Amino acid sequence: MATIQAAAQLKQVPLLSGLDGKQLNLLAFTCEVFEYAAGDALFRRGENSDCVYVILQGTVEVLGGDGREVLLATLGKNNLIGEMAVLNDAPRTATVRARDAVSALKIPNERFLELITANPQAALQVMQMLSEKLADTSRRAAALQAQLDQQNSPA
Amino acid sequence: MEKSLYKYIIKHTKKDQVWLILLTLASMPLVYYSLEIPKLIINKAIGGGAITFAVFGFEFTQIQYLLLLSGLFLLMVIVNGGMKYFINVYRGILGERMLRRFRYTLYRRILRFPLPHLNNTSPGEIIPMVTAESEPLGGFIGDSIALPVMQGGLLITYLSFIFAQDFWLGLASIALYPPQIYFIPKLQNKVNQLSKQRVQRVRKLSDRIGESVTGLSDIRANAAGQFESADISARLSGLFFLRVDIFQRKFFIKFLNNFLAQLTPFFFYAIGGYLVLKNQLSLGALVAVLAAYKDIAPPWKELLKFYQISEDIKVKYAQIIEQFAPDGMTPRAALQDAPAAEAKTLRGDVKIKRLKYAEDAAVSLDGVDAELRGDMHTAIISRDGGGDDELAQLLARLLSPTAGTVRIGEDDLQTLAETVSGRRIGYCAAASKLFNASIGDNLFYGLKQQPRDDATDQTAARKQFIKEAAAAGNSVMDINADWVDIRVGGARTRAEFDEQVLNIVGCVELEDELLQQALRATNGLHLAQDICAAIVKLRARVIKAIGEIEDAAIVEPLAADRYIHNFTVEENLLFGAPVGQTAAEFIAAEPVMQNILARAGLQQDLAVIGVELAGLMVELFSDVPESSELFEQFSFIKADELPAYRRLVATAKTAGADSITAAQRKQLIAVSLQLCPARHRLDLINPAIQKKVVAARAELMRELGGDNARIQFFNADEYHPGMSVQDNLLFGKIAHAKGHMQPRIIATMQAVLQAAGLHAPLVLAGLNCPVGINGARLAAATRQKLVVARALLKDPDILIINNALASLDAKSRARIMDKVLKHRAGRNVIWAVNDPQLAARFDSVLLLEKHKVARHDAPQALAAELAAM
Repeated sequence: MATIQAAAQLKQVPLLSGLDGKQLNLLAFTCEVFEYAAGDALFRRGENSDCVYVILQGTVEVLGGDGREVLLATLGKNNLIGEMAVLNDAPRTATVRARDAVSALKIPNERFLELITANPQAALQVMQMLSEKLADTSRRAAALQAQLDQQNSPA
Repeated sequence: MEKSLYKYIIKHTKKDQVWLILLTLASMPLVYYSLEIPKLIINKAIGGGAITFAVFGFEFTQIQYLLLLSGLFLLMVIVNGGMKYFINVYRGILGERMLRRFRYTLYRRILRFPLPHLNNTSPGEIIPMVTAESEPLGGFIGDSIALPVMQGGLLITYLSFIFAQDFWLGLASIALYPPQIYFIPKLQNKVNQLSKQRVQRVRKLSDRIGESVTGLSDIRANAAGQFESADISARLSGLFFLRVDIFQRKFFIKFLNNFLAQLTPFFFYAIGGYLVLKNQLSLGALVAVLAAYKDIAPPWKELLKFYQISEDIKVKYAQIIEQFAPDGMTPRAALQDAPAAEAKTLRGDVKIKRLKYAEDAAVSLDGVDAELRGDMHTAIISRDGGGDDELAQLLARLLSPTAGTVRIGEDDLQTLAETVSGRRIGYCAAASKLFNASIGDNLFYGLKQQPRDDATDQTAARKQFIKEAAAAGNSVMDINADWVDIRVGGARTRAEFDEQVLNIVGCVELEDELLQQALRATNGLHLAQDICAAIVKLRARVIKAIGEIEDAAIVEPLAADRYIHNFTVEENLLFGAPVGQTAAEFIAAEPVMQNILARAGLQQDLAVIGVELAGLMVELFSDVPESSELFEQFSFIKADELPAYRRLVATAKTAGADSITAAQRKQLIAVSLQLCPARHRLDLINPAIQKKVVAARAELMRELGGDNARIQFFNADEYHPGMSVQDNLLFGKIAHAKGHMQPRIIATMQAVLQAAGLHAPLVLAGLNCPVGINGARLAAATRQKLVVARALLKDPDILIINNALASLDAKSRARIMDKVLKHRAGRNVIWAVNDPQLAARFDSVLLLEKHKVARHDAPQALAAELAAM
């Protein structure tokens, strides 16, 4: 994955779309790109979070749950992953594993936070993204609650 | 230390001062004769009327006499100059020796400071006292006695001469001495006060600057730059006006002296002239007195100047030593180097009686009574979070009790020599210091009480060192000797000691870290030949094992006939490391390399790539702040060179690559040499260029030959000291795209090394890696494990661990605690712990509350109390 190509792809990542070409080029040039074989973990639940990843190629599986793994989501090209843990400085909440051959750009914590704080557009994107996630989680919680109520009511 | 500077000087330099006075007095006739001979030459040899001259019974003609006297004059000049040289050197050495003694004494006193004293004294104040403030002392000490003796002697001689001529004129010439002697000390006194203040204020200034340096991040984070600057400005202003005041007084004294010195001739002219006119004094006598007076003035001036300097120095001395005598210093005897201490042990129970500890008004322990058994593991836990730290420090004898005693067996802790307590008690805390040396130096720090060999004592340089150090009262021990006492835990040989070290390192789980340090290190590991050879032999096995991790190529092997994508162009060209210069220097300067590049047409290719790359760097980094780490880590061009490259790229692009000069081409090539295709992911090195580079490499190898003194080439059958141990094991590079596999690769290598018996030697080799300033190169958890290992390795009778594993996660902390306690089974451990859940592992728990012992019992008996915390 050539640097210039990676930079062009970063433009497609919603959170980074507000950055100008020069900034994206610099980001692509100074960050490492790792290539994962199918089944390799990008990171595991409980590990310290020191970076975020942008998927440049391939698909990854997001796995949650204690003990037994539960597939939470499948993410492809141009997705940003691992940003939650970095934003609230907490351990990883899920395991992310390559489903096929994956190439991912690794943005270290400090660089990522620097990008967001220096760029209002990016900050706004983060807020939108988090609100969506929150809304999604609330919907799921409501659904689960309803399910629980249903199970409990006949008893 | 002597309160008075002169007492200090006389105590240590009596003999030398007598010598100096004798030498100075002996030189005076020489001075006299070197003035007398010219007079003889002019009056007698040249101007005299005699035809022959008799000297010691010999007859000389006038010419011979002239030559004799001139020769004598020359001799006098030489002897006089030689004498002066000798006295000056002697004086200088004497002063420097005393300065050395003084500084060493101050340093030894710092070592005896009570620890709480450091809460009120900052390094910013102490350091200048030992370095800058004491400096003028050295210059003064050589002069301190000889100068006043000599100038005083001269003065008395001249005065006697004047008095012999005429009593009243004699009196006139010293008439103004009484007012000078009366007024000048008074004025000087005020100046002394002011310079005292100045010294104190400069100390405060350096203290504040020190604080700014250490607190820079907080100053920035709070945007307190203006506030701090105003503070410094106020201090500098204070110093300025103080100096102005000092100047006014000091130069007024000078003015007064000069005025009075000129007033005396006025008396001579007026009174002497009057007496001559009245015929009461001959003109000849007046002229002689005036001439004599011309000679008195300089020594008097010198004496006054000396007085001023000596007052200044006395103030400095007094001010320094008062800072080095805090209350509660460790007695000197406790610090004394006692080899006999080695035989002493501290077996027995620790008996604490009515122990009280208070700093100023803050009481942390009051009336603590306890008996900790010598063969038991005791946890100290504080219910209200106070007193445990102090108790641990008191037991380690780092603090002195305000009241009460601590006895170990029969010994009172306070009266033990520090060599005994420091050797037989192991102590570590979370904030224990790591010194800027290797990991091993820090690990063995507790085993360095005295040098173990003095084989180097025989050299002339060493003998000179000992002689001079002894003359200045300094330590004569050899810092370059081997200091590590390997006789710990019953070890008798180095191999048995290494066994102990590995054991302890395993106990605190430092093995992996040490191995990784060793794998990453390029130089300074001091690997034995056989280890290097074994590493080379292991290459195939390591590669095979790593090949089994994943199908994809994780490691790119080094092959002399292939372009290595995970190498820079530079590394690809040389395929080795030049001896005594960097790769860039070799390529840029060596004719053999230049010729090869030119013949292959690579200069042109690399310059073209250079234009492209430099253009990219200019574009990417032009908006990056100069101080950014990105520059250092990623830019091929330094920040200050960026504008020059921008112009160069513009020229090359508009006028074509042919238009640039040879020097500019070199600049461009220097940029492209740093390119590593796999790392930078820039497709600028096409297969044709790759082929040329590999061909150029082959030609270089052919021209220099495999075994040459210029470049050590990479060789599959040899260990290469320019590569890290890891690269040597792999004889390849981990692909940049596979960087995330590093932990698994290390684990695989570890298994192979273990199987081959190389694990232990490499773990030990890792001890040679540096820790950095305050251990900054190590992770916080690693630092804490290291200080615990240091205390453990001493194999102490009493082991005190003061919350030393605070940076570790709870699981690792508990695991290491278990290992340490197992290692110390049946021997004493006193561990201050914050987490009551850890208490169950101990034989007994000392529960502190409200400065006292609340309970002291087995953890099972205290289960309810501990659970409630």
